[in-house]
Amino acid sequence: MNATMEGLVHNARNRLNRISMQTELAKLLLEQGSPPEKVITALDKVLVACDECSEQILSISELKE
Amino acid sequence: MPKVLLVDDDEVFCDAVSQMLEALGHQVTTANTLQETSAILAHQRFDNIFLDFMLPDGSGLHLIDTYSGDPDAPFITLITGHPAIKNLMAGLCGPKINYLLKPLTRENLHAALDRNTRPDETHSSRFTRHFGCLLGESEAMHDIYQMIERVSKTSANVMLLGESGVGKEMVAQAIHNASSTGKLLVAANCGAFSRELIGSELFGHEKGAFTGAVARKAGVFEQATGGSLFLDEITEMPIDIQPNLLRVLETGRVTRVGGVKELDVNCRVISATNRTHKDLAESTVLREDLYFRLAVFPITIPPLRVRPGDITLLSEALLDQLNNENGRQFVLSPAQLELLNSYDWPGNVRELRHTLHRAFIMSDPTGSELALPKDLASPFAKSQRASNQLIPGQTIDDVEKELIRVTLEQLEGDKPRAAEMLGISLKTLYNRLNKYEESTTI
Repeated sequence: MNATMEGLVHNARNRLNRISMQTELAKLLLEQGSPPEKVITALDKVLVACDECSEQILSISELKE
Repeated sequence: MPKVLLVDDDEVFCDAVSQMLEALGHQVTTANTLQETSAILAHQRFDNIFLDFMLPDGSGLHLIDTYSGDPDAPFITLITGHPAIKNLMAGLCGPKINYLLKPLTRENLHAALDRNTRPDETHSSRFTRHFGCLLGESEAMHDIYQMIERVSKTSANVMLLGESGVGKEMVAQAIHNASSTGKLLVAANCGAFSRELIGSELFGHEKGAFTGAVARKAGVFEQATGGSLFLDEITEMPIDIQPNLLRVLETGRVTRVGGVKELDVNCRVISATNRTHKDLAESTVLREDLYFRLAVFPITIPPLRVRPGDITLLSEALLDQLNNENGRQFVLSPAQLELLNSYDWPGNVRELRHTLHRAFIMSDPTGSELALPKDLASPFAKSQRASNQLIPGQTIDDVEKELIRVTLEQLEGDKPRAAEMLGISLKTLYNRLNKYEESTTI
């Protein structure tokens, strides 16, 4: 894997990490009865990370071509 | 509270993990680069470090190198996204180095922290913390450790009795650690809640249940499901709320304020009080039926004055902690340890910690000697000394000497009045005082 591809894969993995942690945080906030705004903030960050991850995957597929 | 340093260049990830770890009872500091990390570690020590393998200014391995051979090194968990690196790490990992593969889950973090905090004993270089938090090697404390070990294998509710400052919350933490539930320890002080809101705090409420209830809220019983609930100052709970608590303990179900649905709750309840068994029996602060549900396994924590040897151990451990947190090297001399051991610490471990902390602040930062005050007694101790100085096992001579001392102190040294008050002749009083002076001189 060349350096550019490695960078894209690293970035995609980091986005997945954000998705995982922000989702876990949302679950914890719900379990603790926290205000809904905090849960929504965490889930919004999940959505942003999903978009960014999708862009990385697109870049990876374009590189492969 | 355990201290965690989180090192990762991804701020969104750091934000989520900080919030989760803080909810799990940790104090979290974050850093995004190796340089920031070094600056933080120059002034603070941590129990755990979560470290990204690849940082903008270098590899996390450089940080591990700096701790090589250091017996007080924190537990380090490396976070990597490369399975190949994970395999390499598995070969390098020693007892204090762990690794996790991205993407992480809450269970990963929990498992890393659980692995790094051995629930039976946690050793720093010199001090053994039983169950991850308790210090003390006296016979009285070893009896407590045995009780914790036994009760942690069951789901029995525990009531902790003991004077203020003996460490009831620490013992609750120890029981929770030993139980290894993997769930939360939720703490609540029954004396801190207002009478109007205590029901909502304990049992939760539904949206609209009362003015100000703008959203559904989970009470502490729900938050502690699967884990432990620590109810401090249980005797401060209003008597009219106690039947509700009793019902929850009997049925294992809770209904939120304003709600209709019963929810299953399953947690160990650890309650605490400063009152003695005699006080509980004679007063009406706690219902008898509730007491029997809460005190399935009562543990009385001994006061510091009956734990010989632990005053020295605790003093050195607390000072060691202050030194580590502030980058100092203060030590206690044998004379200072003797002074600390001669005082009876009516405020127990809390008072000892307060005294050492104050002395630490007052000490010359360029020196190594701690500026301990000559008179250790707090204002509360002086007041208590006047009213309650009898300790089982004291000799009659010691009791007599203390009685003469407090009487003279009260009368500002007026010996004739003191003799009259004590019911002895003035000559007898002088003979006693001369005898005490001679024994001090020898």
